[in-house]
Amino acid sequence: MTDADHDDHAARIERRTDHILKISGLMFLAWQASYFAVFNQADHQLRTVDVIARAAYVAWACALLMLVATGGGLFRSAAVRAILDDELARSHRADAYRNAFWSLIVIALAAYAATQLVEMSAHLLAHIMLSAGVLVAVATLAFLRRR
Amino acid sequence: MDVSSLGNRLKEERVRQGLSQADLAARVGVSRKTINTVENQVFVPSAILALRLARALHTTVEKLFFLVGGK
Repeated sequence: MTDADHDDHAARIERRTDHILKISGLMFLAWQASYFAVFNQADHQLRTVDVIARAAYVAWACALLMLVATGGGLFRSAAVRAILDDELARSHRADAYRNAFWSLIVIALAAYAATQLVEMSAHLLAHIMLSAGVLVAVATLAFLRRR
Repeated sequence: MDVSSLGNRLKEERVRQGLSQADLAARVGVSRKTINTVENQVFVPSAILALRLARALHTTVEKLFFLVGGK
């Protein structure tokens, strides 16, 4: 493969990653509605299907985080990975991590104050923090890659 | 660094040499998007990337990049 072939391959992966970030990020956000409508009700009995749904949610969050971390070039050749992980990609990823970090700090501060007044389960807090961290990182990256 | 304070003649020099963004990206080892964002002053390249761009275009960093404004 020539340098131009590697560049073409990297450009295709970049376009596909852009689409996945946008679509999967929006679906991940939409899924939060079902979590709060169904799974987080006080009287909700945890069924096997709920456990599977929660496991799928965690796997989905990990997959999105992996996409943020690798830019979609995980199982590609070293040359293609180098193009996908160039200076611009690293800069965008650093911005995504920074925004995710600050969103988690803000949520932690809000939760610290809120739990003085209302009871919140550790599971709910973990869900909110994981979802916010993933969504902010994905949204930041999707926005920056659009330019 | 503020992106608006760094101007460049990257596109001008690339076109003058008859290179596409893809050609230059392949020479430097970055993505086309990186070349595009540097040309459009969306992204400020590091000193290393600026030097690699200058080397790929057989010119100097000072000829490719310049400060905009008084500071």
